[in-house]
Order: sequence, then structure tokens, then C-alpha cells
Amino acid sequence: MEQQRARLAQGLRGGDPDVVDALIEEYQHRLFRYLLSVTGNRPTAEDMFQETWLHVLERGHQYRAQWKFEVWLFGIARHLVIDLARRKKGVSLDALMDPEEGIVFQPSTGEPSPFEQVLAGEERSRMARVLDRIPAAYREVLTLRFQEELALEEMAEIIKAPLSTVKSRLYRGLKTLRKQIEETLV
Amino acid sequence: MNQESHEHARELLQAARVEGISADGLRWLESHLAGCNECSKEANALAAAIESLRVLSVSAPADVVRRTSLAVHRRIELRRVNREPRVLLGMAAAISSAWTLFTTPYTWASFAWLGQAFRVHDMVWQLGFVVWWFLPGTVLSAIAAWRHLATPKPVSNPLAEMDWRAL
Repeated sequence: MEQQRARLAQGLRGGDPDVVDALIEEYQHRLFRYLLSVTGNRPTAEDMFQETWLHVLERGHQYRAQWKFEVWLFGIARHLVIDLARRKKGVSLDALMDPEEGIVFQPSTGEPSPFEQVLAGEERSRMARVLDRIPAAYREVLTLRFQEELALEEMAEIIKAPLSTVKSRLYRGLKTLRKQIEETLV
Repeated sequence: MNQESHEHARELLQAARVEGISADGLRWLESHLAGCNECSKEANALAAAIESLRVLSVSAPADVVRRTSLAVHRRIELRRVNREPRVLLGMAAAISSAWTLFTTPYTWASFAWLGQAFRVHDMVWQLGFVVWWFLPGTVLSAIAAWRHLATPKPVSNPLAEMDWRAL
């Protein structure tokens, strides 16, 4: 694994197109899922997807072989989303990711939910409704923990927050998830 | 079983999913769940909620991936094109610096000899030496800087081209 990451770091430093292509191929769905969970907005997630990979290319020399690639990748993606929202709305970082303040990017009204557009399977519309109602800050940690299966420390690294914040968001996120699932069943 | 033990069981159920619980805690929870229908239902509901999240399948749109791949390749090509003249310039500068280091004493001696031969003041041939060495480089640098500033830059920030209506 360490050797593989060392090769990856070397490829990124040199801007090797084959390495970047392989990374896009491998991480495309996971990155898009993460971006969608943070933004809750499909067009923004799509734009940030491209922007994230361009940043991976530009900052390739900063990647270190001891880092898990997805942690570094999600960290870049998150930074870009926050930066975009801050420039667009002129609010602070804390306010942007404050669960009480709501979702950063609201889906356009009258259109199908962004989750409904990309989710697959029978549970699609029900889970789309559930995810729509969960604040972005909780949706993000739920995605990182239960879909990406990252460790709490890795999540804290991505979110750039203390471990206690990550845990409290996870507890509240789980509670909200349970509540929303129950409500959609009624 | 009292209300407190049910609350403790529910706390442990969540903690087990978030940060893990001790072996003792797990044993206690299992024995509680075995005898408590209500908490057992809660455990199943929590497991089902997490599972429904875990099995969600999200795919990146193929056209977005293709567009991204093209943009990345374009950026790599742009970097390569920009890097080539820089490499040549670096090599030229290195060779020139090495040449300067080797030839400076001889040039200095030549200027001193010329100064004596034509009987000019030391200051004059020394100024001539300085101009001889630094003027061409200064002029070329000024031209290069002017050309760099005058060249229009490609749009390097795709955010500038984003459709903000969706936000």
C-alpha cells in the first residue's frame, strides 16, 4: 500500500496524465457522492468535481505517500466548496457548515431533488427525500462514516474540526437520519 | 429494567456505530437487548437506517467525468507547453552563468590592458566592463518581462465560467 501511494505521489508530482486518469476512474463516484452530500446541489457538485481534479493536478506535489488519497482528495473538494460558498454568499466558514443554519446550496425549487436525479435502486425517491431533509453538515459526516467508512480521525482531518465536533455531528446526524426515515415511512 | 437502563442501552447503540464501545459495554448491551423488545426494535431500526445509507448507489454523470478528463488533459498540455521554454531558459542561464564565472578574470584583465593601452582613466574601463557584462542581460530581461506582461492569459479558473444561477 505504501509503495502504491509512493508511486501515486511520484505520478502526481510529475503531472502524469495516466496517473490522473486512473485516479479519476477510481474515485469518480466516491468524489461525486461526497460533493453531492456537501452541496446538496447537482450543478454545483458537477462544477466542483471538475475543479477538484484540476486542483489535484495543481497541488499534486503536496501529496505525501503516508496520506490516504481519498482523505486528501475530499479535503481539497471540501475546501473548494466552502471557498465557493463563502465567495458567493459572503458568510463565514463556521456559519456555512453550521447545522442550524441549514444547507449551503439549496436545490432549485420545482426540480427533482438532486439526490433523486443520481440515486439508483428501488429506495431512490424515499432516500432522496430523507437526504434532502438532513442538514449538509450531518449529511457530510454520515457519508464519510457509513459510505466511505473513514475513521473519525480521518474525518476530522477532512473537516478540519476537533474529534469532538465530528462525534457530535455524527450522533446528531444519526438521530436526524432515523427521524427522517421514520417520517417518510408514515 | 428501569428507564435509565433503556436510555443507557440507546446511548450505547449509537456509540457503537459512532466511536465503538468497550467489550464490557457490548456484553451488557447484548444481554439488555436479549431481554428488551423495545430496545431491540430500536437497534434494528438504527441498523436499517445505516444500511439504507450504506447501500445507496450514486454515480458520477459520464459526461461530467469525460469533460473533467478533457479539462485535466488540457491543463497538463498547457503546463508542458509552458514548462518547455522555461527549461531551455534555465539551461541557457546555467551555461551563461558558468561561462561568466570562468571568463570574468580574463575579461577584467583584457579591459585593464585596453585601459592602459588607450591611457584612459581606471573608472572608464571599469564602467565599460560593467556595461559589457550587464547591459545585454538587462535589455533581454526587460524584453522578456514586457512580452510576458503583454501576452493574454488563458482562463485558468473554471469557476469564472460556472453557471451561478443554480446556486
